[in-house]
Amino acid sequence: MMSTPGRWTGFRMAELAILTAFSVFLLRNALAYPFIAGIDASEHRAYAWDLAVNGQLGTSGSYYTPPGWYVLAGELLKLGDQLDLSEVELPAQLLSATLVVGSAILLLAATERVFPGRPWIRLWSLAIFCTCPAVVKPAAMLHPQPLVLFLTLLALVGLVSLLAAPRWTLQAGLALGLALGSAQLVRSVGLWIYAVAALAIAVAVAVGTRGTRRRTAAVGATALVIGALVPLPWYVYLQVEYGDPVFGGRPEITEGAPQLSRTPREGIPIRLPTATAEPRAARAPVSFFTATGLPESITHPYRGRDEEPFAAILLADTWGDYFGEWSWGMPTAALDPPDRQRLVVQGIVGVLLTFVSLTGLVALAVLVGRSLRHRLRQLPIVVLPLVAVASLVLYAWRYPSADDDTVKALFLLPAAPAFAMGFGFATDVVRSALGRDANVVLGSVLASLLLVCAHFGLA
Amino acid sequence: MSGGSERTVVVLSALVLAGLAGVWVGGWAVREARDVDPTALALVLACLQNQRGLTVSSPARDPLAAAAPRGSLTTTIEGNTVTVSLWNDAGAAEEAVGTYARLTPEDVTQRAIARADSAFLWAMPPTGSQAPAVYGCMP
Repeated sequence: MMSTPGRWTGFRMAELAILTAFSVFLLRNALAYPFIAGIDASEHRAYAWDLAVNGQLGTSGSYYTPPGWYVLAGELLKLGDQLDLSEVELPAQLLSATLVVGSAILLLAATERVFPGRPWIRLWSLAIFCTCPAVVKPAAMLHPQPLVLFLTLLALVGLVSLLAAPRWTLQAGLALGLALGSAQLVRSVGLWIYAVAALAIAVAVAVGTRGTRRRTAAVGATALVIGALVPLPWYVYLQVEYGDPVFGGRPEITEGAPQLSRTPREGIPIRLPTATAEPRAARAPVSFFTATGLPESITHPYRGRDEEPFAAILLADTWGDYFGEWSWGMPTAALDPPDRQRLVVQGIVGVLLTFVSLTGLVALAVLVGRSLRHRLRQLPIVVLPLVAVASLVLYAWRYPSADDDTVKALFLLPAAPAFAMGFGFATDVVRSALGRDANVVLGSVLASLLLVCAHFGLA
Repeated sequence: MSGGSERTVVVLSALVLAGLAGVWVGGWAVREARDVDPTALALVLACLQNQRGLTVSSPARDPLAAAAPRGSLTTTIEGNTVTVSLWNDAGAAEEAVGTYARLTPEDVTQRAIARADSAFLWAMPPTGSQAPAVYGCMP
């Protein structure tokens, strides 16, 4: 349905209102949230401080994380120290909030380019993005993930702009390449948007017309080469220092590993015989990814039980507080939440909203598959969540953790905009099929669910 | 592509996703209905094999362990063989350890150990790494 200019103004006002409320909300959270409660807060603080003050790279357990965010955070820690703040981390926490607000603005820009002339998609995408706890929580923390979210969205805007453009310009390719490279200098998940861009550019070349194909290939290749060259020094450093360019040689858990028992006179360690011939790397079992975890995944959506499966952890952490770092305690002590019912409500609301979002993404995938050339700009929205979830599955499989520490909604943050657009798309399509009264009911129900989430996001 | 086509695809996608979720949850319900809680022996066996990577077998030459009402097994960790027998209560496990002491000529104080309702007979006194690896698998 085409919108009139008056209605457009109404949508802009609504978006502005959401963005304003979101900014105030995140600012308040960043001021109120104790830095030490954040995910791996001490590690990130040590890395940033050592980098800024002593010029030492990767001194904490996060040594395999690129230094992009730590450079900024370290300077802000120094600023907090110079200002003699009671919590020197506060400026860096405010940076997180600012980056997430900036990401919300970029989400609007990306949605406008992916779905031009469909303001309802923009509005609903923005609404779910701004209320989803998985987005709100890291905005108050001392953590690099908000920066990689911002840079991923920047690259996404550049990518969809390129895909939508009738003629690809070299400037647009250069800008995209810089954004792709910068995202990788913050977290390894910055690779996701690079992979998405590589696929989208390859498809654009394949479905392009004879007249544009050569130019598309040249600009696309330029973007990808720059996107690889910018983070290359970091990858070389990790490879040289730790023997792994991405994970930095992070040790894997092994089963039946022989124990070093004693050192003989020659100084050569002896391994006692074990029942297994060779230690083998521990991997998460298939059941970890296929189990529902019912009924406890609904009734007890928090850490502390054995054998909680992948999907249940991810849902509980996306919409609630599975690890207890947000609303009910410190991560290591998070075994007995004071308000279990609130977490249960979040879990149920989250299942409903996730269903709508996935419906939109699946539908979009079908539509893109059926009309690739005409829906090329929508391809990244379909592929980004796939790459993100596949990476998370691979990570959880390769590094199984007894405390579920390797399955976190935080990791999926750079893909949150695509999930939000899936939600917006499904809602808009259903809205267009309903009458006025039904639309009021639908809108009220969805808005109520989102407000429940917004309330949970208050630190 | 028309809005009507989009509507059809969205509705079908929702139905497919709902169907998949239904199959997923239905599969869980069927498994729950059929599921019998694993025995204590099965839990210990799974832990020793899957989490510790050990080879486990039945205690061939230990009639006392073979008589344990909840089962028994033997395994070797770092060259030290241990026979584990599961009894109905702590008293029965203590009694089994006492029987080991009576029937064995040498001193087994450091090798025959009762923990809760389980009895352990080690070939050699367990080291600091062997004991927790096995005891940590007990239910």
